Amino acid sequence: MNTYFQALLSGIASGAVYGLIALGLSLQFGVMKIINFAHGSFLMMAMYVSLLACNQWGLHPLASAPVTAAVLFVVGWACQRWLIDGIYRKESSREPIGVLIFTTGLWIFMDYGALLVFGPDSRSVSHSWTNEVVVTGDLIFTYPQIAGCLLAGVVTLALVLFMRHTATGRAIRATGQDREAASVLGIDSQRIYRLSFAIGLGVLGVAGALLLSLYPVNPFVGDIFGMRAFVIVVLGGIGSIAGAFWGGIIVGILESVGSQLIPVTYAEALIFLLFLAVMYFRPRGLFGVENE
Amino acid sequence: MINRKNFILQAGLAGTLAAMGWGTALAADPVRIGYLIPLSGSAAASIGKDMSRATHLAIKHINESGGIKSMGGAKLELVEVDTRGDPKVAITETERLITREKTPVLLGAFQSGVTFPATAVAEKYSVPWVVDLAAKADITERGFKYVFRPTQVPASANAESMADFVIYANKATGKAAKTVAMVYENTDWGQDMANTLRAKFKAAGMEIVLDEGYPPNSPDLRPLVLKIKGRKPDVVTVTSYAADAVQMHKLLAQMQVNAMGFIGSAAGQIDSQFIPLAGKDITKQVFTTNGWAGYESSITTPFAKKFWDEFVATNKVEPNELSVSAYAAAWVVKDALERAGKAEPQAIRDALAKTRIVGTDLNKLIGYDIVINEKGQNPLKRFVMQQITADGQYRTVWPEALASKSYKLVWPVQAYKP
Repeated sequence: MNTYFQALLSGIASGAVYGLIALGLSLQFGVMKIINFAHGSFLMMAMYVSLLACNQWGLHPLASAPVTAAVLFVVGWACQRWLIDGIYRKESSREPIGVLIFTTGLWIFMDYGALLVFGPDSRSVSHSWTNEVVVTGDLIFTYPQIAGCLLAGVVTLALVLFMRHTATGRAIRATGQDREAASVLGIDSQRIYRLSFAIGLGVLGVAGALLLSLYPVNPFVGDIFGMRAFVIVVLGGIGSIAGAFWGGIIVGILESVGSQLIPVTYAEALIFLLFLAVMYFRPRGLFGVENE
Repeated sequence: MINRKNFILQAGLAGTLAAMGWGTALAADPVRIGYLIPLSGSAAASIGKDMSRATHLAIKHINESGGIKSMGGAKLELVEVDTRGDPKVAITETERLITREKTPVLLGAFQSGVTFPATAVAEKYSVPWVVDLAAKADITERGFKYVFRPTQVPASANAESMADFVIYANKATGKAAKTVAMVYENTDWGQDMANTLRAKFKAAGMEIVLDEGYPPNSPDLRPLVLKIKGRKPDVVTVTSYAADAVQMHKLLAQMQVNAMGFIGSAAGQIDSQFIPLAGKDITKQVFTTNGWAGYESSITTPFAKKFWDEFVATNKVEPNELSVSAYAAAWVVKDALERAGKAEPQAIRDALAKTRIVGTDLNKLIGYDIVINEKGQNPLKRFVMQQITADGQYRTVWPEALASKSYKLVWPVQAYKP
């Protein structure tokens, strides 16, 4: 019984980090209706930034999170301003397919760029904190697990509050719902796009720093977690921030508890089965709101 | 700009060449060897890089020692391609090496899943392939005529050694392990290993409490480790490459899975990244099979010393089974070229089929003889069991004949403490 309880709690902890990884992707889609295929690669970039911050400046893995978030925020802003904006504008009258293809190219470029710069080796942050455990009764958790879970929750909550209760947040949501109407009301949609792309990557920066304490980084690490992020976004409801968080938790629990009952390979398949079922029966996602 | 010194040098050189009778015209064309190895693509790339360095070192040493004498001192030249660990890439690259680059012999490609389909392409074109390290049994069981495996035996021999060691430790220490949890990556190699382990452990009367393949590069191995913990096994066998092995052993320690022994299978646990990434607290006392007995037993000749010293000097890591096998495989190609006398696929193939390298310095380095049988396999390679010491050294603990004099087997291993 204890094994299952431990599995449940571990699943929630892992799931919260998955959710945080997926959050930016969901936000970007919700506002701009583009699917950022380079999301996993930006996660990889975040992990390397965090790694450098920890190993070069001797920062604590948790202390590297704000640094990583800031760097990724700037990268996100720049990326939207100088790369995506131009393509996006040309396609304003139709579905932004060009952006989708562009981010696919960016994904491959970034992965192999990282391979050139950092080499193929896996690297992890060398801090004893990552291996320290908290034992309560039969339950065992590592500090990175606890920190990941709590911080992911806090960041998600903060973002939800920001979107609901600030003027900028409302402007972002308004643009997401109807760009034309929003610009009539005097909202600068270009600025909103830059901001939401940057916020999306900033949040991803926090996720990357947390993930680095749990999983080593290599140039292709984004492929592993990027795929998961897409599943979570669809599961939780594309565009819904809280949905991404809960979607992550569901995937985490399914993976962790499911693995105790059936072979782990099938548990992996189970996640995709749920994904397909949601696509079929509830395309807007488990927590998504009905469009229009 | 021609200055005076250069002019004299060039004039002198030309004169010497003329005296030698058109030396340049006589210099033999280099023999080009197609070399396939994963240099990127996460999981296997770090091993691939280690092996590639060893192969390059072997080519350098062969060339320094006069190249292929039967071909007028022809130098060897590697045409290296990165398979990215992807069978599709390896297949097209093999095709390209044979048809475009016209390499008369191929070497590589470390991973079973890649080597197995790619060697079929070489067989189709009747170009010989020397397998460096891929362990899948079927590679030499298909009745192919152009595929040779001198420095590796099928995975079953590796797995047999894992089980034989447990049986030995049970008897030698009097503290018998009764239950086993087997975890392995869900690939050709992982399943090959698992099939043999399962049969051997059952035959030894041990109970298998967990028998589970997992997808390599999983985002989270914690659920699997939790499952292991729940079954309370005496022995845990881990068949994984470096990235997964690091995660797995970290989690086994964090979750305080307290078994009598954790046994790896000569892949992730002997990767040069394993100890630095996992940390010495976690790797100490971990067991792993090894296709090479290590410095103490193997570096006994100047030939071996030269390999060891130069490898360490250029790469800043010590050679392991993987690099030694890669190094040896290149020398096997050299031996065949020497006997073939020409850089032509059929002649090289015939020479490879008659390979018999016994009692040389090369054998002392690798620890076994090389005699190719009718299937293209060298059946003489054996695996040893090593244990990692608290300061991150690998010490051979089995078989007794090769066991380290300075280190004593720890069985059962110390429990992980909070």
